[in-house]
Parts: sequence; structure tokens; C-alpha cells
Amino acid sequence: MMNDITHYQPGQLANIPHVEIKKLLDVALAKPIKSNPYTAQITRANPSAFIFLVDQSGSMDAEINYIGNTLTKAEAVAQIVNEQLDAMISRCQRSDGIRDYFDVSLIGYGGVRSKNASLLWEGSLKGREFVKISELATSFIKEIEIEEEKIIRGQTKKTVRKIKTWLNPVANYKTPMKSALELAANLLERWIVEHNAGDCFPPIVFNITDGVATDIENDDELLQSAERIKQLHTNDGNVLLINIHISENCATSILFPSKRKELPDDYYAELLYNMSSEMPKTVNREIADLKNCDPQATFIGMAVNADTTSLVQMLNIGTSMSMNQAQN
Amino acid sequence: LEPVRHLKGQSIAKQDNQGIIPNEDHFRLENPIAVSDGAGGAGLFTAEWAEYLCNHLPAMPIETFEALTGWINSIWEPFCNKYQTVAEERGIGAKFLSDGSWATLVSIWFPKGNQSYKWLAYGDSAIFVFDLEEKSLDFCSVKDINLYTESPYLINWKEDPSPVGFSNGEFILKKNQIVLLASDAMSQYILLKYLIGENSESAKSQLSMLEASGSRLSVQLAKMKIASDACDFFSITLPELIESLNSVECFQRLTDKLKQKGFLAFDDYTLLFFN
Repeated sequence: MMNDITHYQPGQLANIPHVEIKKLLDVALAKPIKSNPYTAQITRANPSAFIFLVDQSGSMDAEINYIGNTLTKAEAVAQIVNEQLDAMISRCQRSDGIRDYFDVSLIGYGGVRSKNASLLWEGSLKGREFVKISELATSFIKEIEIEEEKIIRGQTKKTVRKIKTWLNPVANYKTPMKSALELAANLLERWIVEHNAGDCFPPIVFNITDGVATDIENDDELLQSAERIKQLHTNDGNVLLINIHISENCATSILFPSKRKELPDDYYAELLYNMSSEMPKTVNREIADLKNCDPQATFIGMAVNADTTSLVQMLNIGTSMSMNQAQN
Repeated sequence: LEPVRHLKGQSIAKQDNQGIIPNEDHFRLENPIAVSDGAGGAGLFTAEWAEYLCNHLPAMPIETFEALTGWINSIWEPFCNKYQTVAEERGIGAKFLSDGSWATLVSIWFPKGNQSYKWLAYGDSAIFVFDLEEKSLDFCSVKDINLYTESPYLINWKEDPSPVGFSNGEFILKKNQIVLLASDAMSQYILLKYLIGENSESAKSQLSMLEASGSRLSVQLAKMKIASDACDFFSITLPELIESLNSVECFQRLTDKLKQKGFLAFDDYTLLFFN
């Protein structure tokens, strides 16, 4: 009997035509989702993935507050994404080295005068789609060292903290969000084919934006692109798409709504709601703690008018789902 | 202190397609016996911290939370100094000082003469006392299987422990009783297997709550419930576990088999037995 599950090595499918990938993807997606999704243990053999979609359009040059400093939205988002990447490295760091529990991709839209989204890795990672955590740790745009003193049990200990940068702030041109979603879907299709053989915690996509897509004729196009991502799955569950709209005007901020009626009277909020994934029950406690509400509710992975603190909270909750599955 | 008798234990590291990952569990077969599970998901040098805890247990039992805190206070600094140097050399000094090192601990002090055994538990490694004649679990330091769906309490050298994570007590070992000490993945297997075969309301309630949790452990439970030997804890499971401790190869074979069936999480496995 033929075994229809093939284990592809990362990158092995890079040069295979899209039509062939689609055939392999059909095989991968024919594998059913298990009855208790989002429970796979993340290991080096069965890693998971994150994709950050970063809006780099011109409006991202508006100012916003981040931990007491006034920055452009582009600067704040770049700093927050860099901090998230650093936190991922830290969580995968062991005494004897870094465990590659995650593949990470960074996609920008806007920024350059192009209708298309693009991969944002720079330096030795330039052009790469997914990057392993151990590669992130050694390949970055810049690194600064800060001498620190920590008080531990009343004693002062000196150390050096290293702050790395992978993403530079950019705010320019339009908002080709659909292109970013489509690029993410293409990367995810290959990733899912490559990881079809294992019990893999599904990838999570964070879309961080401050505005509306400029590369669509109507909202259905955006919804279809989002749906293309959300319909992808491993045996452990569907890919999660979390849309976070940031704003300097956070008076009407809504995070992880549990019902449509929580949304402001705003068509864009409704659109983001429809584009976003339902969050797994395994993360309900953290969301309920954040919102101070009933943990039995169903939460949608989205925010409208989020400030930078909320952005960090949402990224922390979103990444913690995977991080907590990578304990061993 | 009395020498320990009828005692055996094994510990093996997890392994993936890229080879063996260093074992973060450690155990001690001298009085006081102990199992410590270094928590690799947070902190650094957790295997070393687990070993350090086992090797620095006091000769006299730790019988209060204050005694636990005082003991950690008395041993933390040489460990911190030694591994900070190593961490700085590897460029991970800031993480070491920020996160510290985390580990669980279960320990039993053997008594002189007819006195009772003193035990302590911190975190989700477990102590079990089974009665082979009555076919009962007479004591388990983890009170409910559902505690395994929550983050465990862990001992860190850089801060005081929490009184909530600490438990201790004493027992007199009867003729038909045996004792197991295990790190979390093995403890989960033992407790689940026991509860599946147990007919009490408490067991049913724990298992139905676990089933509703949708957690990884509930997936494990579902697989174990449909196994042909699901209810044969005292006639099959327990003898098989004790027998496997005769050699590391036996223990490896058993854990490989259980892992393949989906009965064990991907983790290091440690088990100690005495009677």
C-alpha cells in the first residue's frame, strides 16, 4: 500500500510550480482536524509558525504613544515586532543552544511604491520566506548592548542585555493588504505541505494595520483572501488569522470581541471581525483575564482602535498559545 | 539516617528526529530520595538546577514552608554565581538573571526505626502510595488530574517559593503498600491510568472535567480509555512500570511503547519505586 503522507524538508518545495503545490496541498488538507484541536506539542520535529503582516503605508507616520514615548506608528510597531521576535528567541533558548520550535515570516505592505506586499527580512535573511528561530538569533540588522544591574535576593548582579533589530520602521505609499494576505496564504500552503506528516500546532498570522486596504475593488476580495488563510489547516486545527487595527484614537478600542454587537457602529470593524479567526478555547482564560469577562465566551482574534499596549497584549496572548505548547 | 532498601529508579531524556535532548529531570536514590524536573520552557540551566536541588537536600526533613524558603536561601548563591559565569560566556547572561532556573521537587526522608516517612512536594512531580492488596491509591501528592492542565509551581533560585505550591506530610508505609515518585509526564500517565480503572465518584468527576477541558491531556485520556488494558491498573500497568525499572533499556522500551500509543507526552521520564 502506498503511503500518501510524505515528509518534505523545509525549503524543498521552493522551486515546485504552484499547480503542483496545490495538488500536494489537497492531500494535506484531506487529513482531518482532530477532535481536540490546538493541543499538539510543539517540538523541533513538529514546529509551528508565525507570520507578521506589517502595514507600512504612509499613514503609519502618524504619532502614537508607546510606553511613555511619542513615536510614529511605524516606529512603535517595528519596536513591538522586534520585541516579540526577541521574546520568541528567548523562549526557545536553552542552556545548550536554541531549539527551533518556530518558523517565522515577516511581510510588509506599503512602504515601497508597489502594489504588492513583500518579504521584509534584511541582511543575510533577505528574500527568505520562513526563518528558523536559531537563524533569527544570529541574523539581524543591528544589535546594541546595554549594561544592566539586577538586584537578586538583595545582591547586585551585572550583566549585558542585547537588543536586536530585524524590522526597521517604514511609512510610505498605499495599503496593499490583500496582496499581503495572498502572499501569506502562498507561504502557508507550502509550509502546510512541508509539515503534513507531523502533528503540528497550526501557524498564526498577525496582521497589524492602521487603515483600509487600497488594493481591492470591494470588501469581498479581502474576505476571500482572509478566508483562504483561515481554511488552511494542519491536523491540529485551522490557521489562525488575528487582525489588529491600531490607532492613536483608542477611546473606542475593542479587543477580542465575543459578539458582533460589541463592535462599534463601523463597517471597517465589521469587516475585520469577519476576516478574523475564532480563538481556540485553550486561550480563553488569558483573554477573559484581559477583558475581565466570562471565560466561557467565544472570542474573535481582532482589535479595532487598539493602542500600543493593547497591540502588545494581543500579540502576547496570540504567541503564548504556541509558546505554551513548546515547553519541552 | 537509615539506608534505603528495595529501591530502584530510572530517568531518560526525550528524543526527537534530531537526536537526544539533554535530560532536565534528575533523581536521587540516597536518603532523602528525590525527583526534580527542570522546567526547560522557562529559564536556563534547569537540568543543572534540578540536579543541584537533589544533591543539596538537607539530611533532616523539610517540614514547613519556612524551612523550604530557608533551605533555598541557603543554597541559591553558589549556583547563581557558577552558572552566571557560564551564561555570560554564552551571551545569555541577561536571560539567566531575568528568568533564573525553574524546577519541581518531590522528596521523601526515610525514617529511623518505626517512625513515619516525611515527604515534601513542590510542583507537579508526584508521590504515589498504592496498596497492592486493597488495590487502592492511598495517597497522591497531586490531588486532582486537572491540576496538570495548569502551569505548575516551580522552585527558582532567584526568588522565594510560593506557599501555595508547597505541600508536605508524613505516612507510615504498610506491608502491602508501594511508593512511586515520578516527574510530570510519567505522573500523568500513572494517575490517568489509575483513575480510568477506578469506579469512585471522585475519579469520574476528575475525568469528566478533564474531558471537557479540551486540553492535550484530554486527548491522551481519550486514547487510554479505548485501550484494551484500560482498566487493568493493578494487574498490568503497575507491575509493568515496576519491572521496567530493572534497567534503563527496559524503561526506554516501556516509555517508547507508551509514547507510540499516545499515552505519554513528549518529555523526559523519571520514575522511582520503593516498598
